[in-house]
Amino acid sequence: MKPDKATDYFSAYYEGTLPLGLKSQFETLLSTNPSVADQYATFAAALLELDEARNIEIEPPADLHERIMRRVDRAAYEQKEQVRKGFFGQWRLALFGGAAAIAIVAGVVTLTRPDGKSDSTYEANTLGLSVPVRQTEARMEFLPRDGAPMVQVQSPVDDVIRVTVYPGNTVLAEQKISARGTLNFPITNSNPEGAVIGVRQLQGAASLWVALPGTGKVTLEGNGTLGEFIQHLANRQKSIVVLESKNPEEGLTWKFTGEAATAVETSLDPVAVEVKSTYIRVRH
Amino acid sequence: MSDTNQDDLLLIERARTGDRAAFDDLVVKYERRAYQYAYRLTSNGDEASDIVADAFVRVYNALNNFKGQSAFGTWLYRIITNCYLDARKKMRNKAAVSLDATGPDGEGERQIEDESADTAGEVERHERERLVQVALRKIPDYQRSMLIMYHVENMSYEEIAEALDLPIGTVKSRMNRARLSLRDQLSKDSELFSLG
Repeated sequence: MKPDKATDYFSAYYEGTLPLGLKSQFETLLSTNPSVADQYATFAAALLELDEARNIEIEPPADLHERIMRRVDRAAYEQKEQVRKGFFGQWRLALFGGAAAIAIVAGVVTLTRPDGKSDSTYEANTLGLSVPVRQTEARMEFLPRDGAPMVQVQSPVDDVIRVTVYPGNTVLAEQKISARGTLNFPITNSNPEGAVIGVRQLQGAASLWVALPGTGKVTLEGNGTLGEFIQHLANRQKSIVVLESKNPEEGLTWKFTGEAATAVETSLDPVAVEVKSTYIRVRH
Repeated sequence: MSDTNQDDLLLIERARTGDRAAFDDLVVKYERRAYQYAYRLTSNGDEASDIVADAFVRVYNALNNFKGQSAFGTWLYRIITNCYLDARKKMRNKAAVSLDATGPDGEGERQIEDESADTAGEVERHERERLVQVALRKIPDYQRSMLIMYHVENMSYEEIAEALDLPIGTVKSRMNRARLSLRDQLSKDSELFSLG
């Protein structure tokens, strides 16, 4: 056995797994080569010392478990946030701006005649969501688009669509719509506090209330009107919330019981909260 | 399959469904051993706690990836080792706490079993121990983790191979190199480490 190859066998000899023939050669080398012997002596002594270390008990800190579970709980929360942002992230981008006032930005409106031909363009500001279509009721549909959500309104009758700010009746916009016509509006909200907007059909009975999320204060419990409740829910979930109700002034108390949008208890019965892919729907 | 593995698999199955209590039980079962291994790698209590916490977060995030082909403990060792190696990469000019760091009463951070009645022998033993720990910190992180797994954590070559996802032959040859690295670092103090 050559001295320069001896180190290749150190571990096997130490562990007693060197085959007999090699073991004999190795031991001969140890006895005839002081340098190899010294090297092996250091090697073995170090490993013996390492082996001794397993007898030493190391006491973990008293708060180790708490520290671990705190990190795990945080990771679990962040996972849920990622999923939620995937749905609603683009809405936040679309709906937050810098100005102080509510501004439903006018976009190009295409008014489609029943014969399918386009008419002249109008400035109009409405938004809404899909609701059951009755004989005179307009159909309002919320259409998500990358960075530019829009609302489409279809009416079976000639009518006027009025958009107001809730609470109160400040009129943001009013637009005529032809029977079987369609209006398309891109929307943005530049009010950092958020806003609740009512979309109503003046002659028909259709109405929708849409809460746009903002940075307004959110409390776990509250009381107020349905309109105020959906603003709270929108701010908490950072998502558009649509209320399908004839009367946003109805009073209730609410309590958010968890992270999910549906984790809420209300005094008004029934109030159904449903998470859609791009918004939250509340029905009463 | 051993009872321990069976119990672990049941806990993991429950944890996968969102059962926090099950995951908590898993942590309670392994945190002490995990901490001891991490401490032996780092020689620093805070760092060890961080590494263990990171490791269990990775376990939590990868629960669905655990197939049960190896023991959970072995899988956990792999994750802790990876967390340790990742943490070391991030560290810049950070000195690990050595065994000769002392607390208010002059004792080291670790509890050391003291069975020797011979004061001179005890001093020499402590000094050898200290030199080994210093030498351990000077060898590559990956080699250090292998040495600790085998000699201190008392893992078999098969378990180490599973933990590091390496063939046994590779583990054995790398182990030899790790030991030789340790020996090279200690060669300056060969008097204390001579068998003769």
